[in-house]
Amino acid sequence: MASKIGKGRRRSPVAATRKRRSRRRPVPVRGGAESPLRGEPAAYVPWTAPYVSVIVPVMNEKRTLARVLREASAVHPSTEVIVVANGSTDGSLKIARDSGARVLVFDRPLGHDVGRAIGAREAQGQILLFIDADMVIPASALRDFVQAVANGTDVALNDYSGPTRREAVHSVVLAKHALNALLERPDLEGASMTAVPHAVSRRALETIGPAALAVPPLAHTMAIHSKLAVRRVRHVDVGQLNPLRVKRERHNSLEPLIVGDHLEAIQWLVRQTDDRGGRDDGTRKRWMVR
Amino acid sequence: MERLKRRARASRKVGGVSRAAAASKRRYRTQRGRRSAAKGTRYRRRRAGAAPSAPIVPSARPAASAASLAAWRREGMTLGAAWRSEHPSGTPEELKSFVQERWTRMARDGSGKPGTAPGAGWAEIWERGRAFGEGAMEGAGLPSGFVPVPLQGSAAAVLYAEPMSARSLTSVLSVLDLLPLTEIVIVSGNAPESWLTAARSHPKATIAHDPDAVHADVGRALGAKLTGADIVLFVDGEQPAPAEELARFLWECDGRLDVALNDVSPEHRMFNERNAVLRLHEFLNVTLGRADLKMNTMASLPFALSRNALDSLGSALLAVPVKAHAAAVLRGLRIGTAGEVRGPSPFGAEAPPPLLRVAAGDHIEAWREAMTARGSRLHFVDRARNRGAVGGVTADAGIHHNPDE
Repeated sequence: MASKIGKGRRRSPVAATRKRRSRRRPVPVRGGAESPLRGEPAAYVPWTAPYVSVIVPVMNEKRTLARVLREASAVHPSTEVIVVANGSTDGSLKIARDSGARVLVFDRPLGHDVGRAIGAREAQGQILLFIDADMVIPASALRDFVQAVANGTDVALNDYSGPTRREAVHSVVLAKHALNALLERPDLEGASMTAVPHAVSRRALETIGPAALAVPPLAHTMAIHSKLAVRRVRHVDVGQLNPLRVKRERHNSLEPLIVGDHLEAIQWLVRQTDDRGGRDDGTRKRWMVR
Repeated sequence: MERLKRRARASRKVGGVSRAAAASKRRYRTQRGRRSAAKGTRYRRRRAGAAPSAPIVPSARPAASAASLAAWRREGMTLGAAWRSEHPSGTPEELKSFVQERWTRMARDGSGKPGTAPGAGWAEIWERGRAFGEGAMEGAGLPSGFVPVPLQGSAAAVLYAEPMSARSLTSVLSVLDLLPLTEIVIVSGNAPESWLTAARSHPKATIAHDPDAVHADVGRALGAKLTGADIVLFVDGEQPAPAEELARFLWECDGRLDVALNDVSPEHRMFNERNAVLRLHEFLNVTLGRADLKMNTMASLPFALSRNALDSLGSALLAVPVKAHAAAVLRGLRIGTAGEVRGPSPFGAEAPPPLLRVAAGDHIEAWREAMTARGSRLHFVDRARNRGAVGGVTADAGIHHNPDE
């Protein structure tokens, strides 16, 4: 992966992949009177870490990107927007740079959700909000996720379970429900870190590690298994917002990938614990039958 | 109308042609002939559905008519009467095994009895067997009913019974008495002496009793170990199921299936009304590449196993039915649904937390078994992600160390 290598603010053992320019630059805070965007700022102000980091993986989403970034930057007065552009060839990159967001560039596609992990590793906020570039969600809706984490939730999920009022559901919908059942959280129904938007606390990030965010069901499982406060926050109908994805599903389905991701999560759970994931079977006396 | 009736008669005649003759004819049939034959079939079906006076037999075939059932009944009565004159002090169990043996032989030979020939629908086989069996019992002057089912192998039933519910055990056993079983294994734990005496009085029962309490799953596994039958039917010891449905499990497990499951999907039609445990069952099937099984599993009763399945899985594995189910899929056993037994679900839309906990543990064991055989993602591969870009995935963060990834 040919990427621009620089040194991260937080030194990490793995090579950090980030844009060079952001090292000493104050993080742009949109909307503030003193906010320095490009060129010489009027006056330097002491640097303060952002409170919220919004992570937006981008791959050829120029149609919606400007609006997505505008809403993202408005979630909180102290917000950094991190764009992880990977394999973008349609001019999305310029839109991202012009918006004033921090932009991490990769010249090839990273693959599904890997951008989230990379963005999270670079994030400096106390709250990390994950959204997609092809779906415009108003800042007012996004703020609820940030607010939930500010109030003590570790993982604030979109209360979206997919279409379930039918006899046979999509296997991704089934996978999300089943994983929550397996984690003994049927109350979460089909809510999952697989779906955006969701926000996590710095504590959650440190517990599960940023890399796991590349496989969202794995991160979801780690969070619940670690007894973090995982809650459904509000409903954002991402199914409705995203007709383009329905079209993509027809040609290049993500279904096997996401089902496999859930299995990877289950395997992690299996390895962490005993044969039964710590769920004892009480009165069974198996030695009776050999 | 008259013309329609004539056509009906004509098509019935086609239906009456013997199987071998029809097969040899079919070989020489022209394109046109095949079309008209197909039309005839369709017509017959329509007629069976439209005529309100026709006997209610859930089969497209007109063969199991009231007249033919009466003929089977008469034949059974003749057999029963003959048996009685030869065995003046014969027991009902002796007559049942005699009828079962005779019926199976008639089915195997064909003997001009198309209703029992292979290819006949289940409803028809059941109706004919019932007419024949009832006739035989009546002919021998015995009050109890019996339904022979053409089976190549022997069949047994295994059930776990709560020691406190003697009445429900009696009603379950009265249904099993109608079926051609060589043995009924009843497993229980910590039962009072009176209960054991009642259970032991059944002529075919084998009682396995432990002075301590026995878990139902372990009890059934133990029961499976105790019987050497070719087909083993696992039934609920609390809730009697219709004999026709149970018999079908035996029939399907007699050469067609290794694992015959109960189809609960009609009972839980909508996904949003299914509880967490059913969702686990369904997802396990999807991940094992058997989405067609829906939420059906060896963890729900009744189900039946062939001797092949029992030997392949081993009885100990049956103590965790979900794991046994996964193993059956992984070992390529023939698994399908055999019937639809409805009963009061052990829990409704919400699975109580302790039950969900056990179900979750069972599924983790099942997936562990599957992952040992098929790898961590069970062939649902991830080719697209550049995991190197984040330093691998599950190896990150130190606290969750997985060296294999």
